[in-house]
Amino acid sequence: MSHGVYPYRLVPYAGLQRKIDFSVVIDDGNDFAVARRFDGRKEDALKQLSTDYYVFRNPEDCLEDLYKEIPQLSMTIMGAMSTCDDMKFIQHGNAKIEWDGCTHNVSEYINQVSTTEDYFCVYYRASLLHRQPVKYEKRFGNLEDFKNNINHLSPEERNESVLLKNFSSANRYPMKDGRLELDHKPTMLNYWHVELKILPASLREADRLKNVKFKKDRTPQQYNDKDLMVRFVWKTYLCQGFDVEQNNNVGDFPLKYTFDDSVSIEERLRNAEEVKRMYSTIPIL
Amino acid sequence: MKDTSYNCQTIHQSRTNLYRPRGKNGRFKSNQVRVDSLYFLNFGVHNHEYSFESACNSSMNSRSLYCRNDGNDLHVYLYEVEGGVKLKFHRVDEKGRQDEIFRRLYLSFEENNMTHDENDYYYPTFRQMADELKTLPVENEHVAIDHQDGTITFFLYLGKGLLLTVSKAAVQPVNDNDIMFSIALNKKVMVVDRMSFYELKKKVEKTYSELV
Repeated sequence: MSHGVYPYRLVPYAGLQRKIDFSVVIDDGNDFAVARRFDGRKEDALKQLSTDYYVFRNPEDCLEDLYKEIPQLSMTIMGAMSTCDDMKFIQHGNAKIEWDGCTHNVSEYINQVSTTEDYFCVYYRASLLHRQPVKYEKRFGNLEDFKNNINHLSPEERNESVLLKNFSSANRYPMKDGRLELDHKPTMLNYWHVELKILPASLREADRLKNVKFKKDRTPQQYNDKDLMVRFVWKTYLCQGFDVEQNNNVGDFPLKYTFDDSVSIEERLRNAEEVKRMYSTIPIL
Repeated sequence: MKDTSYNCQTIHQSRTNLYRPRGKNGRFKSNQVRVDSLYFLNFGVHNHEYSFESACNSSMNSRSLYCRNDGNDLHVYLYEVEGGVKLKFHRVDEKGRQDEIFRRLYLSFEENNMTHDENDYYYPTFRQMADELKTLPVENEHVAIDHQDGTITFFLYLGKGLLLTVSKAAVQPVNDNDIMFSIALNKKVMVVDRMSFYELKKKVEKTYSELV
């Protein structure tokens, strides 16, 4: 076991907002950066297209790795108090539990943190992910199945000849519009943790897809709606057009609005100091 | 004009690296071979001043491009055929048998060449796409292939913050020439749609002309 200093600035304490509403923040013009940690070497995984434009060399490789997490993909807010160096800390057990709004003692998280060196970070602008559209479509094996799944279409689109044309052209039809949502999910040891959620078109749809498991060996003909949504999000928003850590402009988008105004400044500072004192000695696995 | 000798060399390098060592997770330690090979294809499409014929004449008329651990191994063979190139995907089972043809692709370089095996998946628009899109000032590009569904994706960076992503899925029926594409400006995805090549070309040119 090796020991290190856990970055106390990641740890939540009473006085911070329990949950940040990113819609309000972004609508107010406060864009910010979120980052995702990927395993491996940046040089092997990424292709640079211009000074600040990157793509994954082999997108499907990473997609397989992310299947377990998507459609709730963990990310961290950058440009506020956390940096790419902090991403080397991996929280386990109780440390991953959602934060309850209180200040906690360091002893609860002994041996709950490990580190990794084999990683790199990619950065996304929050406004380019939050509330963005997700189009997913279903492939149908036969016309009858297709006709039984068109309730959401307009009367014009339900016209028999249009249906036939669309069905015969590709055995599929654009079905529904989902969306992306960044959800603030602070954990006991990382206030800056967020989840990128892929939301289907309706709650009913979400319930239906909730328990659908991913199987990487599915053929394209066997793709279900969830597969199609995830692949769309990955290929459209996540595997291309991001920054990497050396780009300084990422820090130009800090997140504000993090304090709970119902807690006095004095108490907030006291809690922050307490966290700093406690967590400067947390053992790292 | 690209250096054709580089591309020939790439193929030979690919062959010699077919059984390169794997990492702890069973994957190959590097996918450089795959990337290089696909670049070869990409250059072949985009720069038809030289052809696959000239690149392939140096050796046998069929060769392995790369293989990949995808549950089972997946071997891909390149066949030089009249007017284009054919890719055959062989999945290799645990006993080393590779008689199952997983998927076949045919990349045509002749606009009117519709000759292809009945079971082949066909790309009639690749030559057109290459001819037309090369009129755009592509500053940098990357091409990736999705082994799960056979989709080939071109990432074309056109400068001025404009990224064009074009995907052609291998699973589509023979006569379906629609293309999935997205246009992103300064990392913001502006358009995501599925349409024919001609609609795509129109849209890309319009977007580009508005920028310059």
